[in-house]
Amino acid sequence: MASLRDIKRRIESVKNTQKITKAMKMVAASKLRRAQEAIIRARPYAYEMRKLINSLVARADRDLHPLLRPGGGGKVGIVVITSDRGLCGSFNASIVNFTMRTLQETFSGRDVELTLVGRKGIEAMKRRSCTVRESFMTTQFEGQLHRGAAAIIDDIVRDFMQGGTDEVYCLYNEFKSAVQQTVILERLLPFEPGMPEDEAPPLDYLYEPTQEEVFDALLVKHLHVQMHRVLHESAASEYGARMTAMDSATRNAGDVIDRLTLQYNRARQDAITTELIEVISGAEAL
Amino acid sequence: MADSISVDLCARARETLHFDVTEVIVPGADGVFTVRPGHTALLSTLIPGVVLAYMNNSGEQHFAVSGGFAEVKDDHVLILSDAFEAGDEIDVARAEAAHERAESRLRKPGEDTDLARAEASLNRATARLSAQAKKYVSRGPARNP
Repeated sequence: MASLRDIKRRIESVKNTQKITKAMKMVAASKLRRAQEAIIRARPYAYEMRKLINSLVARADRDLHPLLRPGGGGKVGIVVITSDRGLCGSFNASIVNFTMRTLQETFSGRDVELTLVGRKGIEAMKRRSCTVRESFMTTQFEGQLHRGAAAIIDDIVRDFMQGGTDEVYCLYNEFKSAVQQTVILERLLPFEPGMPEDEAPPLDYLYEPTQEEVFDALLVKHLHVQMHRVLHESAASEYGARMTAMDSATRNAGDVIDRLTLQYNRARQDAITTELIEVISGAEAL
Repeated sequence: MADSISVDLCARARETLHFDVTEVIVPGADGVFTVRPGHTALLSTLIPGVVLAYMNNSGEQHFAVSGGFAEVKDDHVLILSDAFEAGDEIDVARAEAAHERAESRLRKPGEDTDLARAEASLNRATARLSAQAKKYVSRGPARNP
């Protein structure tokens, strides 16, 4: 049996850990709230943009713009979004596992190039044999997610236009709620002609300055906005996952403390009993 | 034909603003244009500038936009811009500081100065200052030869 002092020390150490996990949970909760607000604010813009793009792409000729047709390089690009920091449950593991599954199932036999966002993803992929095209850390965006989104997209678009990739996808954790995140595979390029919201007859816009210039700017901007939204989704999911993970860690620490306290009390009781027996038998011997 | 048009101002990180106007002036990349009821369908890129809206019943209002796109369709104008600010909510000191900073960067470009970015930020600052001063400055097409 562990000595009284050992048990006491362990209780103290678990208590300290619990303090940390509890603090992390609080921090994650408050960051989650801010991230949630950011998503809600970012959504209308992304939504209006998508609506406009959908109605435009559905009516547009595929030969109009290189981003509307497959690139022709034969390769597949995937942007995988993870977090820089750990201690957030299965957040990163589920993305990495999903990536590996996608590589083996959906894109088996195809040449896939990854663009990694987040330190955890970079580290995980280093241990596996994957072709990595570009990696980004989320901390290097310094809270300016739209800059980061622009950097990621510009790199992808450049490669796509140069005929490096056929199609580009994005893999990320979509934020459902604080306790639920789903891994999503979304196509970025080429644009899919989704159904226009309204069934209005084809509309011919007047384009200013020219149709090419409007398409150039709008398609790339749309990708920026979508990637910006995706980064926000991922950030909120990360905080949600961390909050849940730290909550259960705090609860587990509580359980451990209870068990140790019980053990400690038993040991103390034991010690008292032994001492008593010694005293009594000593008195009887007299 | 309706005698007013609805405008949606939509930006990256704020709520969409919706209002009805009799006329709205928009800084298109090919020059400033005015939208009145019955305007033909139009899709234009925007440059940083001022959107001037003649409200149905509450006078005129200036907005600074940072560029983006405008879609005109069926007496509805959708303005998608990374950022917009109403003239009244613009912080003059901050806008002036940004203006100053961009200007000095353009005057004395260092090794690593991103000229395009400095110019864009100068244009944005100018737009914000003129929207705040409720001036409509038409700068014409902002395109480098």
